[in-house]
Amino acid sequence: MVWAGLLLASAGCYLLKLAGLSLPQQWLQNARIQRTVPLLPVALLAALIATLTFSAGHRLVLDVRAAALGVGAIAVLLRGPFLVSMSAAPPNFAPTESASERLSRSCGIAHAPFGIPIETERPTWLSVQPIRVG
Amino acid sequence: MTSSPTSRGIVRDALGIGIASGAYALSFGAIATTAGLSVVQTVALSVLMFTGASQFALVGVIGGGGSVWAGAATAMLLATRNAFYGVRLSSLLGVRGLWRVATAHFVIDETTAMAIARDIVPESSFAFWATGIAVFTLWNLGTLIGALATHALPNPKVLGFDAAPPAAFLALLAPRLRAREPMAIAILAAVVAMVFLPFVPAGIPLLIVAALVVLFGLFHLPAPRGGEWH
Repeated sequence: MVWAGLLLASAGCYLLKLAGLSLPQQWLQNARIQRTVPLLPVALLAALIATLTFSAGHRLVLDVRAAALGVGAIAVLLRGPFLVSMSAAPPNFAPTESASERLSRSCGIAHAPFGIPIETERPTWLSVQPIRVG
Repeated sequence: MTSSPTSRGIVRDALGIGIASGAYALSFGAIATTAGLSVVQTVALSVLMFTGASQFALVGVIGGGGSVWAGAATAMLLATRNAFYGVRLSSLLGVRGLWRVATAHFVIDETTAMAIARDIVPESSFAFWATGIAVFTLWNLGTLIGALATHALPNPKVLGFDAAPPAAFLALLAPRLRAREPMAIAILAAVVAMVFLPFVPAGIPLLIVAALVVLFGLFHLPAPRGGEWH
């Protein structure tokens, strides 16, 4: 049962990627679609954060997860060290810094026609070095 | 013609992004296993779905008690942005025919960002593939190691990874909240999801939020020029 769901989800995600590459551009250039789609990740991520932090089964609860999220929020705001760090970063992680800096600059000037800001996901747990994005 | 210093710079950036993805994948492997997926299922997700936010959403919903179908729907909704990356990339990469079938799998945030940062097509293509291969390799390797390491523990929950997805999502969400409208939508979405949570099956509040976003987009935003919306 779970496998069916995983395979369906994977197929669906793949088809979405393929659709963008393959469909005639006019199909997806509807102004409403272009302005709505960027809102989906924002809304879904926020809803995910809320439901996963404040729920226990069918009840809303306030527990240690909220505190953990608060600490995470502070770390994100300060763009500082993350919640869990592994041992001291080896020197060959310097490329990561320049890659992220380069990416932030390119994200700043890169403008997709649909206006979606493109950011790199960065590790929060099990990270080996703070990585600055943006 | 891609010059050597440019190629080296692209490869260096791609490797940096790949390493960051690999580290992130360690946590994904751990979180997915803690949520109840087997090691094989976890690795299969990383290989077959290969888009981080959607994968985290899927295992987050399952770990929170939702059905795999609600998780799948949420994952696909989060993946819609990849379709728009493809629109942007189709002219940039100049892919045709069967090559698109292979290229599509690697259309993710990181590869798109690297490709559109370049000015000329050969460099865009090189950047796309360098990043794609680096991320695919290290993301899957990280997933495998994270899953195996967590699976080896008698009680994975002691690591606290069942509480990790919200922090991961916060890192993904924060860069997108740079204006008032996204911030308002995020807060509204969180409130709506929590309002519905006691009354509907797990995972459904997310789909309600998505439906509201679509309705909002269809009816609230200004009509396109020449459109006949009410």
